Amino acid sequence: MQTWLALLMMLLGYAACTDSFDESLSVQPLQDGRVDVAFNFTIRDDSISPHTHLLPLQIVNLLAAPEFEIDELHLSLSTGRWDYDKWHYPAFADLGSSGAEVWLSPASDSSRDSWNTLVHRLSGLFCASLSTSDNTHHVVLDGKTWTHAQISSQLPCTENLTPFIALLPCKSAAGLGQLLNPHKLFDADYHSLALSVYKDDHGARIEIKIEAVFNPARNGQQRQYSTKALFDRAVSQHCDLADSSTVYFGLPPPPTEEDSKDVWVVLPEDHEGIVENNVLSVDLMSSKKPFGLALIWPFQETFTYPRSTIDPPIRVRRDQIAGPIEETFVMKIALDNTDDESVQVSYLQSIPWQVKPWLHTFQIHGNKSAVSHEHALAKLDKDPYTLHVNTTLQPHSQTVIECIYQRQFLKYTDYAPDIHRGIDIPPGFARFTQNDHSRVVYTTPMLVDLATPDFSMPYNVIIITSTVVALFFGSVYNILVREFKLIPKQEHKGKTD
Amino acid sequence: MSFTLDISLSAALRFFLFYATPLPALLERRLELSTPFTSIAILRESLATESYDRMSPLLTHSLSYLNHPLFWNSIDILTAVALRRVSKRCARWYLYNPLTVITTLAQSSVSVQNALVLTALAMACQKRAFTALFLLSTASVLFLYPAALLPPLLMVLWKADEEQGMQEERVHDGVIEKVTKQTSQSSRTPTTPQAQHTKRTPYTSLKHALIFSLQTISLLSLSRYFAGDWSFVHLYSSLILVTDLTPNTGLFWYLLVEMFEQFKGFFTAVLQAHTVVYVPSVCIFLSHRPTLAYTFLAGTLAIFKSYPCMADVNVLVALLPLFSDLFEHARHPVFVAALTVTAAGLLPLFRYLWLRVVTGNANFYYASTLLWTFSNGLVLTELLYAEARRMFVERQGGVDTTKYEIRQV
Repeated sequence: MQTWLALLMMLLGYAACTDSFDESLSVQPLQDGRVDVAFNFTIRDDSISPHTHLLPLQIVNLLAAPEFEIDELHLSLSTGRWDYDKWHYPAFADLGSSGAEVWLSPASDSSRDSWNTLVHRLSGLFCASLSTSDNTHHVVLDGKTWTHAQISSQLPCTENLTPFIALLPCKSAAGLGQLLNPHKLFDADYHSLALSVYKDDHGARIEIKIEAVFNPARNGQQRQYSTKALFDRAVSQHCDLADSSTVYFGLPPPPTEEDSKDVWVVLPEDHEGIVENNVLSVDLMSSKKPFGLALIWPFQETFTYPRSTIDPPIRVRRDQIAGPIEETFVMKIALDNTDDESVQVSYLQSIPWQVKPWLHTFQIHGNKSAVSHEHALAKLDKDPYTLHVNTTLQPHSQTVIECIYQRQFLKYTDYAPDIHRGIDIPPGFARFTQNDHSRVVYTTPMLVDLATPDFSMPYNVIIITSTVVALFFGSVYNILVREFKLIPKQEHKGKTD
Repeated sequence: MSFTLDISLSAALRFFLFYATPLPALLERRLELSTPFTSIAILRESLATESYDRMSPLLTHSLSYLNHPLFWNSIDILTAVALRRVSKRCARWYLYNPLTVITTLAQSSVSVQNALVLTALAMACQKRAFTALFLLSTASVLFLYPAALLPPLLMVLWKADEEQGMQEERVHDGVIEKVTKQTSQSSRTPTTPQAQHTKRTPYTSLKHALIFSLQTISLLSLSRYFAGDWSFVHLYSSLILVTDLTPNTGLFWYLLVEMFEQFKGFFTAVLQAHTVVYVPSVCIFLSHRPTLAYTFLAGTLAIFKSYPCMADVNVLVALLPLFSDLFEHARHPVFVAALTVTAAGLLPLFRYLWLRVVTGNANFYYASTLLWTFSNGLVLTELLYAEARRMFVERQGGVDTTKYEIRQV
């Protein structure tokens, strides 16, 4: 009887378990001949319990832990520079940074301790050193309080991809996960691995996002590419656990003239996809054949990079200029709007404590009327300085934010290892909404030279400084206590004798 | 009047440099002329962030209204006018001294400190005790270290009482000579306090010290009023504990950059104590000539305090003409002067090599600060030695000292 009951409970449990897994891949040609590839794996579950079906246990343990109280969590690991000028915006709004980035929105006010523990847990889960951030700060965005940390020197590699693949229900054995080939992915000009966790009253949703920009023309001087060539793998079978599995194969704009060099063809010609809005979508769940697509330009013998490209509507640039004295530099942030509409932009950056702003030199040039900014100065010794600027960029205008920063002189124990390389200032970023898409544009990270002492000198300095002090003290003491005497001069002696 | 001409000329020179040259902008952030506690940039930053942990609230608030070339030039002129009562040569030297001029151009608040310290001495020489003590207590509240100059200032007041109407120790100027003819000679011989007359009692000095502390307390309360709370005392703690390690011309910064954590407290305490250790002994030794004690101690503060800069030496340099009689007794005056000038040149040079072109490292700049401290130390010991030797020669009475070598034994 008991066995029957247990079986019935299990069946009921299975029926009540409303979890789902959706995966998609988007392959989009870019205007400079590169290809943007974006994987999205979304797992939803209406309940969070250790008896999980699709939701990975690692994440369930994080969500269930009472000390963290995660409401929303984002982690991304990226290498390379996202070239906004040529590639415009990434497929995933919050990617495009460089280095590691962690965002946490706790359900209640979390302490610094629980943040540190969480970061250590994430470091362990994803094989990354996330605890070395020195620009961790708090910020309120869209009504939520976030703790945010960036580590620009933490670049992803194969060991970081493995834990991401481990979160997938079908791992890399079936479905789109098969295409996650580290040899190809980490050969890309830019690549980013990201995890987003959302928790609500009912359950949780996690998104695993992987985006990379490949350059097919780099090797063969040919623009053409195929999924086989990009990943060196094919999707041999679909993932049975997935509810949907779709490939969105972006097509270039149709050629203006027949038989010009811009004519392109999708192969194989008997693909099972549907073309809509210049995107060819293939449903892998219903597909009978192994998946593979190619895009070729039959009349193009060698590909030449375009001389000019279309600018994205909003651009952000951050530059370092020599300052008025040796230990200072000017940080110049230029926000450009090349669009015909005005855009509400919020710029945020967090500067590690080794560099200090001179707030009296803070200036905003451009549309002054619609600017609000707030500084968060360091409260504790090693807190970062955070700048948050909200402004409306008028059409075809530029807003420039300038401030002089001073490099701090530190105790020799406070310098990071390999300090002669300089310290990393993590990327700043501008957030805005355009055509109902929220976008984030990151600046490049900045390397700042710190003036360094000679680390081999402690004994010498103590000895030499003490000598100079003792020399002065000795001379003064000598004058104060010793008496003068008259001593007959030598030649006088000689004459009188 | 030639002195009026001097004043107008030097004022014209300063205004010319302020308005017609890019020098003020170039000099205002030079750390040779100002420190993270005295530069005009810090003043602006304190005003922007409304924090007083770098600059006293009194100074911040007054400079926020007064920061104008007219103010910076007039404090120089006023100091020169006050110094004129002590010695006309000092005054003229102060007006044209290039170090004074560039400090003023840098709008460094060190020139406020120098003006206060020098005017306090000038007022004390004129027996204006209350003003002198007030100026020194202002300097102490704003910059802390000038408090160490209270004992020599009390002695100057004591001495001024003793020599009725005496306004100058060494008289070189015709104007004042008339007033002080009979007393000018007496100052050449060391006098003992008990040999003197009148109302002067030990209570006078005690009273002066009391006035000084009352003034200091009221100025601190005024600072508290301006700052809104007592958090501005962080200024004094950071001056004593040396928390900012920005390079300056002193000994603290590199020592504390390199110091092992467990010895930091000890070395800070020893070096801070060393800065003021000379006060009692030098005051006793030079009790017959308190202006020299004042000068000597101002000099030790200028090189050994926690955040010194080149401009701090100005007090010492400005008062040097008072002691021209010591020149013949000095051991190596030319060598010491040349060494100091060399060190002054090396400081900006090595700083440039280290921080801008990075062909030299921190040790280059450290070496030049050592040389600067050492050479200024030599200037001070030369002064002290020469005075000791002069006293000795005077004590010999009629003996022809040219026939003898004078040696320390």
